[in-house]
Amino acid sequence: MHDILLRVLDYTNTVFLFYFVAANIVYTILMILSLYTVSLHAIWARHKPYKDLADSPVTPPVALIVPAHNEENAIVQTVLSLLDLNYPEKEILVVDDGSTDSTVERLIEKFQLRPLDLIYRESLKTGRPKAIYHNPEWPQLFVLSVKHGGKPHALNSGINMARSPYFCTVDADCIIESDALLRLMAPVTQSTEETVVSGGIVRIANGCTIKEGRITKLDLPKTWIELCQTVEYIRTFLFGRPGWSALNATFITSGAFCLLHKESVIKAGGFSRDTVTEDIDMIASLRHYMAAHKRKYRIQFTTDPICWTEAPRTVKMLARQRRRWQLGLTQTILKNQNMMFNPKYGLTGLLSMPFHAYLEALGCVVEALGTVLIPVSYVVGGMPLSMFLVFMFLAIGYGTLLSMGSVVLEEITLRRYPKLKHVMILMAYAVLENIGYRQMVTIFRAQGVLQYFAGRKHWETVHHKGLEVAGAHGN
Amino acid sequence: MLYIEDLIVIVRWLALIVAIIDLVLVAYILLRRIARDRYYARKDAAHERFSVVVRQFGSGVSEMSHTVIALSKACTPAETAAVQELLIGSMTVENRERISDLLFQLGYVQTWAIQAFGRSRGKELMALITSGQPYAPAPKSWKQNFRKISRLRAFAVKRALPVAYFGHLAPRFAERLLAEALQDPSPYVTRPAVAALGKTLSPVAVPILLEQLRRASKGQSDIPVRAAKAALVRHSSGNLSEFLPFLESREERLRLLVVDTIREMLTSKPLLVADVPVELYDWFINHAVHDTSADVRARSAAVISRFHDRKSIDTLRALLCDEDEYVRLHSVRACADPFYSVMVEDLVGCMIDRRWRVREAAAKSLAAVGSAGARSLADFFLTTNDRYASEQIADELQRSGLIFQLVSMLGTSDLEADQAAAVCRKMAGMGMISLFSYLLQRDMPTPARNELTKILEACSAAQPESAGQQAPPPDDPTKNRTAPFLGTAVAPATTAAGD
Amino acid sequence: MGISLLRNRAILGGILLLTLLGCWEFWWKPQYRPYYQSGQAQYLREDYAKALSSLKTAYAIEPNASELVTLLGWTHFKLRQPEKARYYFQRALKIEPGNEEAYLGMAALELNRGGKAETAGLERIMRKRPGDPDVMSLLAAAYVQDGKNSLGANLYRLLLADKNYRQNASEALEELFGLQGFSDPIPSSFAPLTRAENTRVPFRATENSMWRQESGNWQKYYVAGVNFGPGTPGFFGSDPPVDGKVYSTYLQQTWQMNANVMRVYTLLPPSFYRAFKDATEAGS
Repeated sequence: MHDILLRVLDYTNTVFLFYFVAANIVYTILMILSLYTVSLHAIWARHKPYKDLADSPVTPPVALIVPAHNEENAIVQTVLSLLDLNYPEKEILVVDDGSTDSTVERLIEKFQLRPLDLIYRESLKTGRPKAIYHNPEWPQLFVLSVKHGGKPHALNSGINMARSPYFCTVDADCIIESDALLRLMAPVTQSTEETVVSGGIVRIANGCTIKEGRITKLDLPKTWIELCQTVEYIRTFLFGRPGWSALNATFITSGAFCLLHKESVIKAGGFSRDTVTEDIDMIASLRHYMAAHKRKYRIQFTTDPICWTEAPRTVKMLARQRRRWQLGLTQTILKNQNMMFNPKYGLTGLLSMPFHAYLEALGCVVEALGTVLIPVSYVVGGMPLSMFLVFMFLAIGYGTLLSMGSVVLEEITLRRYPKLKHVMILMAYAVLENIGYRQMVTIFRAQGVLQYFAGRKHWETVHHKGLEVAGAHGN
Repeated sequence: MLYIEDLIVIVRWLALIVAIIDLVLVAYILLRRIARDRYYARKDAAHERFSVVVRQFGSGVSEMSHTVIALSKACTPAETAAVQELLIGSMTVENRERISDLLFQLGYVQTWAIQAFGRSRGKELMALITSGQPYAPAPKSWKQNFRKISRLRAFAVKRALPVAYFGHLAPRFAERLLAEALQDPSPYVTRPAVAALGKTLSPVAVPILLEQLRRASKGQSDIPVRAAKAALVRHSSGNLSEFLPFLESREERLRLLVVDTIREMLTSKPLLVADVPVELYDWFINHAVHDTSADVRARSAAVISRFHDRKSIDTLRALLCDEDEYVRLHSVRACADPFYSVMVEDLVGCMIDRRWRVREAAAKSLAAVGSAGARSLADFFLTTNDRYASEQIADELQRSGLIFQLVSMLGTSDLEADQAAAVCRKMAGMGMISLFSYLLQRDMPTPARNELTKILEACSAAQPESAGQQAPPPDDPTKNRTAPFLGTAVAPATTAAGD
Repeated sequence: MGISLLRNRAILGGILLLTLLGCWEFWWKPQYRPYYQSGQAQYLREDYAKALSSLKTAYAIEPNASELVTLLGWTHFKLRQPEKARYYFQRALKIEPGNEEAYLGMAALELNRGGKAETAGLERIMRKRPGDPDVMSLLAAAYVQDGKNSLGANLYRLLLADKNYRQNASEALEELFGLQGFSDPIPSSFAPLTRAENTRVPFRATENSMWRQESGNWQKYYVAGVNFGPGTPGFFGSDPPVDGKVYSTYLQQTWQMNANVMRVYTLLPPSFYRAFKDATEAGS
């Protein structure tokens, strides 16, 4: 009996070893690629090429679509900050996804909106909205009120209403910097190839002071869970994404702030309700469409455009968020399975997608099991001490290098925390994050993957506290 | 044969290395912070020290030699950066030549040139500038073999940084430097070079930029078309005559891009007919209408509409009846200018165009042309039976805010009160009552309220309420909608009500 | 949903990956276990040469399995190659510091060499495995080596019951009690040691002569003595004979020599004292 147990543990140990070594190798390669791209980009961007874009009249118009469900606390601030964006031609479409609170009422009150009967072209099948609100004195702003159908449905409704060639999805609780839209558009206008998606960075605003929809003071959050998330976001967005973008194999962009080409999205079928993370699914659908029609295109990610968002403050909310993300990732991967190992989709199919499927989705299950089984194996005697140390090193020690490197990248690029004390705290948490937080998040992610096989398809609700609002609303 | 005790040693070494790298990174950040703080402190100090000198020079008070001596005292990188910033920041159109000369004398231009082009070539260019000889590209040398490598971002970015400065310099300096920059193999250098050319306002730049535009249009260049266009647009409009040969080129795309550029230039800077050279004017008025490319004709409409004279009206009229929808669309859009209020009838004729985009544009233009246009719009609205045109107009009335003016005229003794009432009645009949119901719940002057209530009651008797409108189906060329009375009777009761 | 999942490339890829890893682990990777098991069987059969070759093959495949290394050590030990055995035992202990077999092996090597083995560790193992004759014999030998004879004797007495170690145990006990060459049975315990209240010395040296006290009277005593030490022909000086018959013979010859005093300047094996007791009791 003991013998069979040892054999089984031998096998699982081999799997864990393979996973850790493979994952760390890939992360290292991504890190090197990202260091190269991001630091050069930082030097390049130092002489502010975005001023030209603001003055240029050839910058195309953009529609900002804000799907909102029960966001009464944040929505007015968000719309005000969007109206203030430094961009020549934009329109703002707030899509109220069947909110049960006073989201729409607050907007109507603030901007004196009136219900109108405007033409609504159903390029994507959504059904007609319940109401459209507008005030000619704010010619850029439109508010649609649709029947509750989830975020993809709201986004599709916004797309139908939009009249610009590009649209940008914005989450209702996000704060966008005034230059961010210009920076998001820069890769589109500056590239010779058609760019259908342009993504930016998402950062955590917990702890910052926010007035009138703008960040006035940059500060670090106070609790450990938010600090760990801060480091984690920095690592993901400064290491993972630029690396894949350099290989032109982007698989995930953040839907919180992402620019897309409207016609391509419509032709690709719009946002679908099959998954809970429609932003990842959109990228996959676009790739399908472009490959099927053999069009050359680029999906771009740059580190300049920055969107600030609120991170969950409690473990319970964090768990829900991470479960949803992994559930969505699993759904997307399984739905788009014909991209896997398919050379027609270039490096995405050959590298990026297998990586996300096996080293992220399956990998987090493996890692969660490892967190439990490796100590068991050591105690039972199936693993000598040195192997145990090797695993500890791979799981914890190497991660500190990656996190620390990402803090350095953060320091090099344009945005940085002004006080040295902040950077020190970040570096400390870069190390601490690997002990405890990472394992906890891995377990949540594993739950998310397993939820897929248990049949779950939809969101668990995540409650927002709302970011600190200094200055009363309704002013 | 990996002995396990060796493994422990290896792991220990690895952990040690990782820890050391971590500490090195921490140290790097600390040192970098300290260095940056020091750099900026020095820079600010230098700003303080030299700002008076620069200001005096800029306003013409002090002499060149005096200033050169004063500013040469800046030696550390922070100080030189500060001085460069101050000088460039104080540049205006008048003193540009002087300040560029000063930059040259202080040696900064040479530093930039060396940074961008290498030591030998940089010095060659300096010599060209001092002697006044025209620009000549470098002879082919063995260095050409390294073009592929120099393209790499790692090397190109450093070369690209000074190129942005060239754009600020006076033409005497900028032309040669930027022409050299355009030869660089990397797009990181050529793109800012093109943008900088747009800033120099030098006459030499225009043909270069147009050539870049041509290459970009053919897809032979790293520079996107948009960037070339943007640079041209930024440029002064005084050199428009250079555009003519390109306008007459055989390549359609190039013609289109040039026309579009001219359009942008006219839109961004207020331009008078007087500024446009005669040849260009002739080309637009006489030849553009007959151009073989629909895109060119379409974009020309916007240019022509700027001319604001008798001939432009005739040309636009011709374009409005063009067989290509795209041309018609842009011509209609070009007429959204109060000057063309005489063209109201033509615009009304476009309201029944086959394509919805043209109809939409016509409605917008009519709304923008002024009160005459608004009236014609309302008239047309009342008389047409074309459902889609009616919807288009109703949409435009709401978006532009004209509907509120109409509602305010209800029940008054204005001449147009009847028309306003008729419009509201028709809209209510089409099912567009959301706004009216909303307004009734608010404060309204009593005569308007009564009128509106009457209208709504009359309509609600006829059909159930509904909100929102159904979009017209995609344009079907087989159905002939140009004839408004072909029995496509408006039947809002059955179509608008369904969900 | 189940069937369609199996046709999903992603799932298939994942299953393939896990299967490949399993194949590697259980098939393609050279397996050391069969060799180890055959070596183990041969060892138990006491076929040490064959066991060595099997185990060496296994070792070439997997040099890091602590049980394999330990067994190799024991095999070398049985083949009387103490240096090699020591190397393997040390490695085994490095790989797995708690390896009891290797620890026992190191102790056995030490004891064989005549050195001292740490009794604390052996006691610990003894507690974990009470009644294990191998451990008992090692611990007993360690006790004796360390000088704790009574503890060692107790263990040897217990070992008399074991059929493998009976011979060893009885020999050791005989040595401890000095019974070799005599037909006494092995006593169940050492006789309790009593000391006289007052130490009486019935001899004195005065007036240029030795005197002996007999029933209260001091009589001159002429010492005709023999110096008796552990050095014996045919034996190392530190390793005197344990057979009582040798000492009986010597004592007999001493008596025949008419010597009346024997000087012993160091501790001799117990059988000497046993022979001495016999001799004094027999012919005083």
